[in-house]
Amino acid sequence: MLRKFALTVAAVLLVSSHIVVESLAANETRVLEWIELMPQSESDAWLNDSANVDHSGFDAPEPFQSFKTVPELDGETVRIPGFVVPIETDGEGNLLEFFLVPYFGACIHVPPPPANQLVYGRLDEAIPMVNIWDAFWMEGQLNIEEISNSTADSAYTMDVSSLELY
Amino acid sequence: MTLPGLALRSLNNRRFAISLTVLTIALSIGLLVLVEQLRSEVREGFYRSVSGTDLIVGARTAPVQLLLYSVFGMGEPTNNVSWESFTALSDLPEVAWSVPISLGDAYQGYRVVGTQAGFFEHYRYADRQPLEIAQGKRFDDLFDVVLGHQVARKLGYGLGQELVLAHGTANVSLQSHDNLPFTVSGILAPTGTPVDQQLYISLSAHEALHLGWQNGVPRPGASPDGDQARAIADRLTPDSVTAILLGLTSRSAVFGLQNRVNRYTEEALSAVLPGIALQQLWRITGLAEQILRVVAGLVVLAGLLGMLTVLLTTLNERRREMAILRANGARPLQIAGLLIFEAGLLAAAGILLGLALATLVQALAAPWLLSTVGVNIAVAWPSALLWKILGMIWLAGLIVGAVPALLAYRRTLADGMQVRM
Repeated sequence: MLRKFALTVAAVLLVSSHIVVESLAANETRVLEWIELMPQSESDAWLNDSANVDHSGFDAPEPFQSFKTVPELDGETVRIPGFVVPIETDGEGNLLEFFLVPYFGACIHVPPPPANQLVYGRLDEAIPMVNIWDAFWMEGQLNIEEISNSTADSAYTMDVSSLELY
Repeated sequence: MTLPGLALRSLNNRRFAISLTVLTIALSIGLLVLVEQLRSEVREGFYRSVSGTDLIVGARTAPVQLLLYSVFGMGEPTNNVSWESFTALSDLPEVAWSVPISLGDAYQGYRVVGTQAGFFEHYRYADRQPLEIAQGKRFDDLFDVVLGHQVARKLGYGLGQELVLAHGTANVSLQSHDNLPFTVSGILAPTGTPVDQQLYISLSAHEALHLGWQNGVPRPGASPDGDQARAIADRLTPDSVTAILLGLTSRSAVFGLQNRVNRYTEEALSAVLPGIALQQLWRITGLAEQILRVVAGLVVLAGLLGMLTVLLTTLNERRREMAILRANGARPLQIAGLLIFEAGLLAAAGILLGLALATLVQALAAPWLLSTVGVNIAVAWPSALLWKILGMIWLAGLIVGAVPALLAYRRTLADGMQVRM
């Protein structure tokens, strides 16, 4: 009886330690969901806001905007998938700075994503221009940058260490 | 005598056919290099041309077209943006700076751009480089004009030069605003962008040019002279501008603002992110690029096949030569090596000559491309990729040489010493 119990304990320990090891390995770079970039209070407001959107009229209401960020994410190294919107090149047509956005293109059917659903990526070294119609995994250190002191608005930027095809 | 020495002498003996072969390869390589170089240089030239501008706003149109006429001076604007929309946009809290652009006039084929002094401050090219004034200053007086580098150089104009601007964007204009001469106040430093190809005047001057032109043609006596125009300069606010360049206080507001401009109900407007419009432009031109590359590749293949033909046909004529070499103790393998060495030499000579040809054509075509397309083509050292391609072509040349080498190898074994005349 005692022996059986000991065996069970050992087995449980073994399995759980295995899980811990596995989850540690998986945590090496955290894969971020876009919605995690938005504070809970904002995403609730967003949900309520979009429930009321009337898409039928000519006078579409102002799209939901949110310049609030999640402070815990500052300095985290994360991996996030998205589409590239090129902003700055190095003068030779190589990509230097860009927005990573959750869906492709300047969508004309629905409002654009709020500011906290964009990440402004900066590359240390310019890379050959990527295709804006392809999805990419972006990895690097996420930072939060103040936009204006008066309104406490902020936005995400990333020191991009790698940008690879999704 | 060494093997390379023998090969060189043998080639010298057949110099006419051989130089034609080298020329064939050189032309095909030249075409390939030219296509590759122009492709990357044109792309680079386009990307250099606009930097630091977050949004371009114009009348409702396709993004590529708006980008082409506002920045590159290509194509015609579809419509104008009202002055009210311009001031409304400029007053938005998220707009850090706004620069209006008015097009529609030309001077000897160069575009005349009506803008504000902010243009010189905010316009950026290449790696966010600001414009520099090489000589003189920005426009100060109503009838001051600032010349792009190429405009000044081509026309041979210096500071203080007087010029008469014309209405319309044709190279030759039948109707000049000759009652209003402009004076060159400044000349911009070279940028390698379409800025070099344009003349810059103030918005008020652009408006003054068209005083009395309200019906499309000048009414006799309705056009003021210079002093009359200066007297009313502060009232010369245009009704509309062609396009607006915007810089934002925060880049993260760019998508929101773009959406609001596109949905603006007072006027049909389009806002474009320059980076996106450039990519759309490449998507359109991408197919043509691919076709050019395939054609260039096929031409290189034809060049190499031409070399194979020449080597094979001369092989028969060189039986005597081979026999003598064999008689003097050359092994079949050495004879095969001789032929491969020849082929390698021809391919290398063709590649080098082709590179030289392409560079020459590029240097000659650069000024023409700059003045017609407004894109600066620098004669650049071939990229790593191009060197790799050329290396592979050279290897292909060696493989082509292996065909006659194999034939010669087998033949010299079979009939090396027989003399059949």
